[in-house]
Amino acid sequence: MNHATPASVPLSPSPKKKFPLMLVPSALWFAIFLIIPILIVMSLSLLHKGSYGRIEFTLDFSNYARALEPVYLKIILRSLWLATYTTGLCLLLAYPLAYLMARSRPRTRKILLALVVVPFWTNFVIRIHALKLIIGETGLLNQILTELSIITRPLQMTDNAFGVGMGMVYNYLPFMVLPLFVALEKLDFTLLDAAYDLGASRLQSFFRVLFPLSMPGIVTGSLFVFIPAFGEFVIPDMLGGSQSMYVGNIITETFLKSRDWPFGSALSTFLVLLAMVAFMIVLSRENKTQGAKF
Amino acid sequence: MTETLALDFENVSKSFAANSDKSSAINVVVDSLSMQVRKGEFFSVLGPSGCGKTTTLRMISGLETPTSGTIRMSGRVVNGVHPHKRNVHTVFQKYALFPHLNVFENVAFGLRMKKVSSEQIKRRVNRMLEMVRLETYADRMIQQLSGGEQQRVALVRALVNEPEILLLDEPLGALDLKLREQMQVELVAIQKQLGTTFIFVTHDQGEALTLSDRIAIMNRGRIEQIGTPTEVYEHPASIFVAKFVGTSNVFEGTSEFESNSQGASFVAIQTSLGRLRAKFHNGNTRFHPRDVPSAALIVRPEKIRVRVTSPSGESGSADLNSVRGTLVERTYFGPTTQIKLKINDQAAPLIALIANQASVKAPTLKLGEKYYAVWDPGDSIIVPSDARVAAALDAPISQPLGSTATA
Repeated sequence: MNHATPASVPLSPSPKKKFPLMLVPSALWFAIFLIIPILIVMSLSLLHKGSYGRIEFTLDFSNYARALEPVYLKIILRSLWLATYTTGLCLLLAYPLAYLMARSRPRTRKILLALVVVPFWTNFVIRIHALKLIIGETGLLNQILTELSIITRPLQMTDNAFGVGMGMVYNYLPFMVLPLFVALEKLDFTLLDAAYDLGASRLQSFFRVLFPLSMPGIVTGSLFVFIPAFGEFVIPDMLGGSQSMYVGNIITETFLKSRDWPFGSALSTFLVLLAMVAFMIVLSRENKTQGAKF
Repeated sequence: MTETLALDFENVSKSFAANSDKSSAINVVVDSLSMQVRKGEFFSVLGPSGCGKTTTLRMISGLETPTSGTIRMSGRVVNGVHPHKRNVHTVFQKYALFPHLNVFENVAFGLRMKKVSSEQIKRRVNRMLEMVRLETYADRMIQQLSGGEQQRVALVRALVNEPEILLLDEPLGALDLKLREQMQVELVAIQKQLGTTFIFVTHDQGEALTLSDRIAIMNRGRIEQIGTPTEVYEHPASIFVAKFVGTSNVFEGTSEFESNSQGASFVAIQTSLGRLRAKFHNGNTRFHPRDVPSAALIVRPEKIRVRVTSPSGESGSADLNSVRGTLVERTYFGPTTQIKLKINDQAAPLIALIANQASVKAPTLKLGEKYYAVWDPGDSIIVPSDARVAAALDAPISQPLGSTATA
């Protein structure tokens, strides 16, 4: 009579997941200000440039072919290299600092944290100018070194790749420090004692225990630095001199000076795709080492 | 002589700069500690939290360096020797297992550091996992294990390195009662099987009594007594030991020498409750009253009999200790009943533990009524009131190895 076995009764009222209401604002935000603009840029990249910066609505793949020309490819590679070494240097500088912060007493930790965050209170462009005052040709550093007779002629630290690197590391360091600090702060440092106890040297304890366990922080920090650094154009503009060309500069110039929106869009799409690929690689690696998270 | 010693502490002290920004005071955590641990011994360091036992452990493992004194292992001075150069391994309080490694790799960690060949690692790790019945868990991650399983992984992660000394820092603290008892049995079995010297740090006196060959009782950075569980329980050397290990009734006062007409000698403590006596012989009293005037008489609750009438007039009752008090609390434990007698204006009530087959049936005792607590002078212990005096007196008796210890 009663054919309903317990197994046939659905345990939850509906298997269909409800869309949580509190996600609506952020979803709208993402749709309007991120997804739609990207879609617009992507569609623009497939169109043809008319005269006087007008856009002709004819399908045209030549923008991509142009983006892959050696001139541009070289610039993209240069930007990749810039983003890579910025990320690497930031990691090298930020790790000891984040470690120190995580292991210091609450009071010291607060002070250190403030020192990392305080530069954000000043406008980005002003900060870069301030850096110029220090490392510029007549800057503070050169003056001191000259006064001390360590050098006779001022060192060329701006208007070249060195200046760009300085500016990049200076600006992006906090984005590396903060995620690293968050990851290290949660870490149980008796694990290091355990490693020493089991015969690991300091170096071995670092590479076998501390480093793998802080991987989530390293990955997040690296993404936070790498992705914006790849498209950065203000710092090369201000500290790299007229010769400095990175993909960000090309894009701004294409849009604003040559008014070639389709080509600019193609370069931008390229950038977005590269960032996405990098992100996917990292994510898939993260998933493989799921066990490493805790 | 020395090669029978796994560990020898000689006047070891450790102090830290006080943990406050203003003062530059020095915090003495371990204060001229001397102890000797024999090879193959299950040795416990027992004390309340903050007594310096964890610091002592860290000095053995090499994670801390003593401020002064000498630590020897198998006769070799190891002060300042880095952890990885000592053959000592630790089971940490909260296990400190590596969450990014699986069970096998956790256990293999120490061997990998020593560059042991991978086939040997495989063999030794698997043998250890079999010993604690975790051989099928080799591929699991740590967070997939229960508390008891993690505990066993932590144990074999240290043991696989075949340490001379295995340190255990309150390893059972995080387990629930039943699991803890199970692990206690397992720990002792493994220790006997491997013959490794175990140094076990705990604040749980029951655990220390059950597991250990010998116990060192620590208080405020000093050792108050070292002895077998029986010695420590039956003949505590100080008031602290008496109170920390088990329950004790303590009566402080001035001590006097006394002898009766039959020629028996006693130490009598003159307290506000009158004279209480202990037999004067080694074990019950370790000093002559003229040397230590300020002393305390200690009696364990289970040595006390509770009477309705005064024992005076009974045969051989002349030397019995007897105090009278009001029954204020009665707790039924099943095989025993614990009662508390409030005596005059004494703050701490007297505690007696009565076996429930005794002539006076505990349940018939009425709250608010007055009873006599009676015990034999042979069941009383006299200790100096001053812990330092007690420690000095304890030294020659409880260091049966007869080495350089100064009394």
